[in-house]
Amino acid sequence: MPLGRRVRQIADYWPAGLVAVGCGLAMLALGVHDPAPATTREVSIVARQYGFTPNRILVDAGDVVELRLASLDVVHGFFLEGHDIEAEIRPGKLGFRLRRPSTGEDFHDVEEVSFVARRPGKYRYRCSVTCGTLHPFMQGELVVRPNIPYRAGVVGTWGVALSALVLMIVHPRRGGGWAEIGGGTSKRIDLLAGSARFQRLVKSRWFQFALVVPNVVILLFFIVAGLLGSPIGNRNIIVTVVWILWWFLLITVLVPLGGRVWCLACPLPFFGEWFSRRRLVTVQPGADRSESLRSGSLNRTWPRRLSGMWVQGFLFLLMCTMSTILVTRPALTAAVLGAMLAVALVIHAVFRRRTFCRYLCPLNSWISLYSMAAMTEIRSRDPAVCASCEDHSCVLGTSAAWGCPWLVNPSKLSRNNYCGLCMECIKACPNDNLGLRARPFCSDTVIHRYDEAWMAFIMITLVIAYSITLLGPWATVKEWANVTEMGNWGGFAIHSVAVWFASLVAMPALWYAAALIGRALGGGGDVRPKEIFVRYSYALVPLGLAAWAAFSFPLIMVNFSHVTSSLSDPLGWGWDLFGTANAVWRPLWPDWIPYLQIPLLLLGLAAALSSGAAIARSLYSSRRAAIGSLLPHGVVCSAITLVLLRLYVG
Amino acid sequence: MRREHLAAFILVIPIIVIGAVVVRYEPAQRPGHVRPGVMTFNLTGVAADGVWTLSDVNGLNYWWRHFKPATLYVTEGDWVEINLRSADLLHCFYIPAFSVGPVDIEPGHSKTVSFRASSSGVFQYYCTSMCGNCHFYMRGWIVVTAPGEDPVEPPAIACPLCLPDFGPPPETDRLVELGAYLYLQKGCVTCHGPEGRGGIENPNSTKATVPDHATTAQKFFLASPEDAEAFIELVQNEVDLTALKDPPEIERLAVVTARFANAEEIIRIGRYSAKLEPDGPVPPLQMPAWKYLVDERGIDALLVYFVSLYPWEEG
Repeated sequence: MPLGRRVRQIADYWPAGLVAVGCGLAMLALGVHDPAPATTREVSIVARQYGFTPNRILVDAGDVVELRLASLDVVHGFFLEGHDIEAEIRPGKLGFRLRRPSTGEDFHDVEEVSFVARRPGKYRYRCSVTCGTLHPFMQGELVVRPNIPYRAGVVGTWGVALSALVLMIVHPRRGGGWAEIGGGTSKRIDLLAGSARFQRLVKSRWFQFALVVPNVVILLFFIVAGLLGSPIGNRNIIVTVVWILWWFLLITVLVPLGGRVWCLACPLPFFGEWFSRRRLVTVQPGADRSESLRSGSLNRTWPRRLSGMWVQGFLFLLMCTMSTILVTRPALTAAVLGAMLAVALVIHAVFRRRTFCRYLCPLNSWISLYSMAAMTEIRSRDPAVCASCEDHSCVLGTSAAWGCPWLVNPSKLSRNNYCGLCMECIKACPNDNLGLRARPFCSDTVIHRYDEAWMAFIMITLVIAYSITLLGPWATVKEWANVTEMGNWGGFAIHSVAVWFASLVAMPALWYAAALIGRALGGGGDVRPKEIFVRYSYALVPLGLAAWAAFSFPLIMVNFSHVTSSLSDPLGWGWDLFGTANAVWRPLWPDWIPYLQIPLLLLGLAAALSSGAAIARSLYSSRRAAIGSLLPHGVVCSAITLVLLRLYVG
Repeated sequence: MRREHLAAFILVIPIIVIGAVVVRYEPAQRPGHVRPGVMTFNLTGVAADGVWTLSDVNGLNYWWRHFKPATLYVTEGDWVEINLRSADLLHCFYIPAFSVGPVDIEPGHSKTVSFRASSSGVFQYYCTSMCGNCHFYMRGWIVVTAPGEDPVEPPAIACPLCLPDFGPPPETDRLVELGAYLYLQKGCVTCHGPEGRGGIENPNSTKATVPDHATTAQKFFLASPEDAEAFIELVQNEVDLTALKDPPEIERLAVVTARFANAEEIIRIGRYSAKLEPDGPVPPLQMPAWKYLVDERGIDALLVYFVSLYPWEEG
């Protein structure tokens, strides 16, 4: 593309530039404020399992804060981000022990500590002495006003929303959409065509085995660690690596870049697949057509009625209802992972191919939904070749490759949702017509079933719920969610009902109301409300993925030293394999967390509105109708962004 | 098939190797466990039960099992090594008799202490960092027996707070009853003895034993059962003692009031037990500051309960 045309094309986006300048001015205006006269504030904070009282402290920039700390039950810590304060609070003592982390000094006894709240923003104070199961989530928040990062985020949200609107008005046919409906083939990079070595690797029968086996060994070791190791989550590798490191990598790297690439390496179906195939690396085509446990599996077909996403969606919700307990109890995590191994084995013995992964794995509902946004896909290179193909090796298998284990027809793939990236079809295709391709973010934009739409509602609601229970400062909510220790079953019922109601009823109802309003604004027409409701739900995919990423950054950054210390001492038995077991807990650049979260959320919103615009254009031919129908959904997406901003940085 | 066998081999070998490593370094089989002339114990602190236990505490049993406090039997002259771990939160291990500790034990950080069991007898070890409801019961015995003699059986230590039938607070507005409840519930009883009778040994403290509370009435200069009754009634009715214009018929009420305020303050801010021998160990039992743990009414409740304990008929 000639440079001149590119410049003109960029210049076409002047309205967005205008909005950006406006927002910039607004932000500048926010920075200018009458500083309140600095005062001295005396704050007494009382710690208990698992929260601080008060859990939110508001001060003005320049204030001197005099802090006293006490504990009500066990020894707690107090680590204030951005202010170089770490304390150890022992119950039954009037003072506390203080040190300045930056100096590396030892604790010394003090009665109180004072600091000047200089930089505006939100700073968390967290427990820094392992105090029980929910220790890693025990926190409160200090807000130094004016909270400029938060205000900037709010202005940014308005900016993104207005830019999207203006762009849709000015460029009805283009306007910010980087996605093409129906999975166009432009802007694709064929990853296999470029490198013969990579192609040989992917086509090797050892490829998947080599990726899975390390995970199988690690999983088995983790299960042993969960059962025999320390009962405290942050000292046990199964919790730190699975729920902190792996979950973070899945959300921020594996799914956005590779889509379902985790399914390629997942150890859970390993033993089941081994049992039903009777092969680890080679191919025995008879096995996946056998109806006998002697030569393969019974290869039954999963009941049609259960083949939607509903079962997995419910299982995922169930897991998430228990997740505060799950992610803090190594033995429970081990039991759940062990149970999944066992259930996968049984399902593989009875049902065809990867029935377990497709219809029962709770995580599939999460990965499947967000893989739509992923930047990797397996697709037919030339649909014409597939159309004239008669032997359907990719579905049926050959002597060199299994038929598609994921029960899809690879030659007709148009979305990522149910393709496990196992690469069997690439090995099978006699015409070499299946390609592994890189593509722009948010390329699959078609949701056309209720169950898939509901997954989008469930996932976005859950990330809000998690941000409240795990990352919030509310001890009561943690107590409700942590029922097996606290025994507050009434609270647990409130918590569970709220989560289920919000994700299954409230969020969809809100979306449906938006669909009805949108249809009216779009001038009715022959697009049914169901279609608006379901198709636009895709907007929640990029937004949700960004929200999950914003949620997972504090998890990994705050708890990273738990990961390194438990790698060195996986079972919490006092080993020290790499010399990091006894390292002092330190959050990793905690001051930077808001500056990662705000852009992530704004990018997610931009991607959501841009996908929404693309969907609107495919639904309506008139500009007015397209904008009108998208408007209420855009408002809901912006509102969700604002809620998350409030929780993270407000 | 050769490829299949190779694959199975690749799968099984790391599993066996890692399994072997885990078994090899399983804590009970840690090197040094059976070194000659060294008695080694693995103690794990469990806050929920208020014990240092010899059992292996892990993800499997922690959630449902009740652990028993460990009694360590050694022979005089033994070199004793104790590997300390915590199952849940920060504990502090202390054996004043052998000047071991106090040493902080955090989950996942094991520490080893050692000492020579130089004299025979029955000694106590403690947790000296408040670790929850059952903290004050978190102690046990070290029985050191002279060579050739039979070990004595120390009394059992059980934590009534950890028992399921330790009920809810009494539904009464009588301060004395509330005080009696708090006395058990907050764990005062562990150091100050059942019904405030004291007598619990506090090694190397100037007082030798923890102060009793049965004589509180006397310490307050309350002269008769009637005076004590009247005083309890005053506190019960939340009368501001310092502002009394028309003092009731209690002898030396000003002294009583001053003594009472002094006692309140001791409960609020705690008290340091001074060392008898300046070079000796810190006395293990220290009065905590209850300011944040018991409210003002609760402190008064405890004090009038102590007043009510005085055995008047014995004179």
